Amino acid sequence: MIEELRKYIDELFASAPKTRAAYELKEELMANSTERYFDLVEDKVPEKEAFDIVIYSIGDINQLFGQEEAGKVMQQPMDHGTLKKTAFYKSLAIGLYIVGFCVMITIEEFTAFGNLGFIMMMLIVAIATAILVYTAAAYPKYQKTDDTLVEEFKEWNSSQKKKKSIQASVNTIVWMTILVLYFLISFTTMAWHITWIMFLIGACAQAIVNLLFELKDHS
Amino acid sequence: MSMTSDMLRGHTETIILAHLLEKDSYGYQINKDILQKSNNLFELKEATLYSAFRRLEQEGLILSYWGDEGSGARRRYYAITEDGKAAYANQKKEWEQTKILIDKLLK
Repeated sequence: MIEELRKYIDELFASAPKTRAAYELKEELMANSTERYFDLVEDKVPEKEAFDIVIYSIGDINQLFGQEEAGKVMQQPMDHGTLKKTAFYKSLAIGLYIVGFCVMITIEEFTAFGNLGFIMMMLIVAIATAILVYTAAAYPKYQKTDDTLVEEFKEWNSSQKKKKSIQASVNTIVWMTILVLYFLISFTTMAWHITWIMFLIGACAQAIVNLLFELKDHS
Repeated sequence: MSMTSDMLRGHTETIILAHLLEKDSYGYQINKDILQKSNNLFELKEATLYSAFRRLEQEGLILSYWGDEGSGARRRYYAITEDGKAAYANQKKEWEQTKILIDKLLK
């Protein structure tokens, strides 16, 4: 029964942040619950019943992690400076998209290198996309406001998400670069029959990126 | 009965401070004392107790340390600080005043 109690408490904390505070809380809960259980058994309460009483007396542990469900993160209003910066980067990126298109039209209309226009546009689009993705990933959505367990939990949630979004942006940038290189090399060498191999290299690069993130996560 | 229960929960922190004033203690012990003193009628949920501990600790009213029991899970003990004693005296005084007021109002 004690094993079952430990299992139950482990499950309660399965979605809790891996912080010292949460670990200590779990230890504390385990110690108190065990003692209550043995007291009940000593008073001749049947084991199963004692287990149920102990579980009942724990109550709603989630109140220690805040009322929000796991996964929901409160949006913190960004300060003025950050807001201005992100707005600037976003406008810059959108501006680049338009410039890219204009460059393509201009080169195709007024020079003999039609293909170059397309390549130039892809390059500019790649830079613009990289800026957008970076801005989205770089500014943390949630900053710790005080030092409670609830705040730690929220911050942990937010940083998990941030890690995921950085990984996603790196992947996007990898693919964008591959695509641009593909057109660039194909148009210059005209070796279309072989250049598709670059996409295989892209898949490899993505696998390596994911692996690196996972390794970093574990260490 | 639910009124008593709510009132009790509203005073969790003062109850904890009162217990720690006597001697250092831990979660289950405090709950056992409450149960005993209320003739087996009332008890706090573990979760309620722990969130009160955390709040009190953050306000610097109590300290916590790990006991060293030879075997099994370690108990987490709490001790009252000087600030805690002052806060307790304050809250106790407030309660006395509230008691008198409620008595007058419910007459």
